[in-house]
Amino acid sequence: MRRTQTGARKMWGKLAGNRRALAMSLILVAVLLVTLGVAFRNQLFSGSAELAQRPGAPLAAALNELRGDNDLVLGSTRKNGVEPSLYETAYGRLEHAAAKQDMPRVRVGELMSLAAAEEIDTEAWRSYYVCLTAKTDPALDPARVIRDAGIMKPALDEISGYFADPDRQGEDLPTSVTTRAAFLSTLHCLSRDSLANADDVRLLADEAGKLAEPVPVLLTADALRERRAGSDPKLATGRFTAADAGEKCDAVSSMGMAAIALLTDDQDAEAAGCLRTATAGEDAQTRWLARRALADMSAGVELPAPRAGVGKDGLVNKVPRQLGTLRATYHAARALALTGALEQVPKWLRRGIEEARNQPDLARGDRIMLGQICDRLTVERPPVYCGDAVAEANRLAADIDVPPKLTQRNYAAWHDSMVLHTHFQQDCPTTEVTLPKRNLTKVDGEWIRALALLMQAGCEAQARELIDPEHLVRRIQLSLDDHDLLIAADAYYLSWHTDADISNELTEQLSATVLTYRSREDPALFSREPGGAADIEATAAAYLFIDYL
Amino acid sequence: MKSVRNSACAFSLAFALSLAGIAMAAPPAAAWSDSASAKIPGTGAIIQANAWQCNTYVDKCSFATSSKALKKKSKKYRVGKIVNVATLKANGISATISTSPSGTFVSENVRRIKWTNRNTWISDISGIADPGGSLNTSMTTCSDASVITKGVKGFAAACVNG
Repeated sequence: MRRTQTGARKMWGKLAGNRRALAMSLILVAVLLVTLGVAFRNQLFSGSAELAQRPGAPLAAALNELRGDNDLVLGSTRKNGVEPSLYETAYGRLEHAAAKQDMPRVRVGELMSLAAAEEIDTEAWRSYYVCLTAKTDPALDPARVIRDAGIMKPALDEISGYFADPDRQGEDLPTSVTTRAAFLSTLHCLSRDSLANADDVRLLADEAGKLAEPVPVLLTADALRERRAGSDPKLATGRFTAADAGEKCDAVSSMGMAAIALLTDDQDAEAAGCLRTATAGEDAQTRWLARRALADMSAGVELPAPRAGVGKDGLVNKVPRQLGTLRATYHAARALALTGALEQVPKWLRRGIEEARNQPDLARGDRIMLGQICDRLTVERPPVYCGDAVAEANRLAADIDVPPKLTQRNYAAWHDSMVLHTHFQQDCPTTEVTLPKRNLTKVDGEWIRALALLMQAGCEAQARELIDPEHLVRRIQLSLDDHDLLIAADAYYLSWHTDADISNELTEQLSATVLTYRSREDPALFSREPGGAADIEATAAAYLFIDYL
Repeated sequence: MKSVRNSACAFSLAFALSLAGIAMAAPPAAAWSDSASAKIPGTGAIIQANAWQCNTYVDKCSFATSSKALKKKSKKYRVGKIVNVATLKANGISATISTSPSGTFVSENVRRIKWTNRNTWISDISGIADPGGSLNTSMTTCSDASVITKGVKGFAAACVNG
């Protein structure tokens, strides 16, 4: 967002015309500087992108909390997509049981919902994981869960179909054996052993008995053991020895090493050491098998605590890797510019921006966003890692028109095109904005944002026409009462560009209140709610707020 | 890295199946945000979940997800079965979402789309999402990846955050 010289002069005029306010403002600025440890640039007298450089190291370092797995900035430290997983639950609970650790009982309704909805696996595999979960909660009736989830029939049909024609899917033999072993175990769990006939079981045992891969052999051995059917064929496992586990002690062969240990009577001290490491690995099934194998070896080694976190509902969450975005990176660039930290852009972020720029066939929106980011990070010229992103974005942005009228439906498109217009210094666009209500204390916060965008785009007369300064001031207070830092910042920005009368009391209150929005992770980052998770858009808004206070 | 077509063409309603997954006729351009991976036990390969969504709403909002099996970071690794599930979620008060392809209705603000491939290294999905409901509605794209090969399974997940 760019300040005009006119706006800057107005703001300075307000301060100088009131000595008490001036003194108070100077004290507040000093307090903020000490508290945050950041030197602020003097935006009062600079209206362009060429900013005097000041140390802004705290924010730059704090951005590490918002580092995405792809070296772009995250929107928030709050993780997206964290939810229960059947695979993690089944093996995580088995891991805890193998460690003889108590865990909460499974909430049936939640397990049922998960089994009904989790699309990453087929119904038969989901049923298998429900059955595994039931091994660690005796009160759980897996058949009831699977039936209530509405997947019993499709699961049984899938299993029957698979046994009828195991070659149909064209899968490799170890996969076919693993799948049939899992399905055989599921049939036993659901008291439907008869759906796999004697020939099916014999074929499975024969084929497993010839495999070199130990994991499907182990799963088959487990399934046959569970059935305890005297008529089942014996599974040939004598070909495995501890030496087959190989010498590599890394996660690549940990699962195989555990399977061999469970299939043989060989006690291998080196394998025990490797398996101990595997009990702390990333994969839940591997961790469980490693514990099983070590218990079987009576290795007597001390093991780390189980890694799976079993929730109060008895389920285990998957935690997806969090990927940063260009949109969040743009807010970070704004914040870095506001705090004079353009020379401290973290190395990982420079790499992330450069990698993004080098992608082939980038979407138009992404190329424009890259240009915006790079423009914000410009000191005298765009950074080297930005290449010609700014020039390219300038060209592309020229083709983007602001919609002629802001509506509820097109708000997002209107918002982003206005930001583009403001960023690339285009004139006030022709666009109609009609507030749903005249009273700014009664409209949704997004309308305050729309007014701020009008003002930033140079449509001052149009914005003033829509603003009642008294309501605006009241809206600042209401937004803070509602813990809406972003809208409070927009309303405060607007108050400086209209004739709104901000009392000293309100200014003091705002100064104190903004600081309470520091995040729980790092005082240089701010949150959408007081003491909450760091949020990059809230961080940029807070620094803008502080800059105006 | 998944290559995605120019989102400026995203207004097209044409629909075509790609060799490796479901895609709109003119889905978005590059979706490179791929950093979430996990080992496929015993194979020396990894399963990688990728997710991308539009960074600006000046064009229709495109999304793309994929599951990839790779060896030595970038070599394609053929597996028996590879699955990708894209979950699109609109965030905000009274949020709603519609997607193309339409996928499974999970709730008013969540859609899920699944694609399974066999005997290859990739399964991917791309399309257009239309979040709505209130002025401040935003969108999150998550990608779940799974693979089964040589008798073992592997999972990975990634979500766009921001």
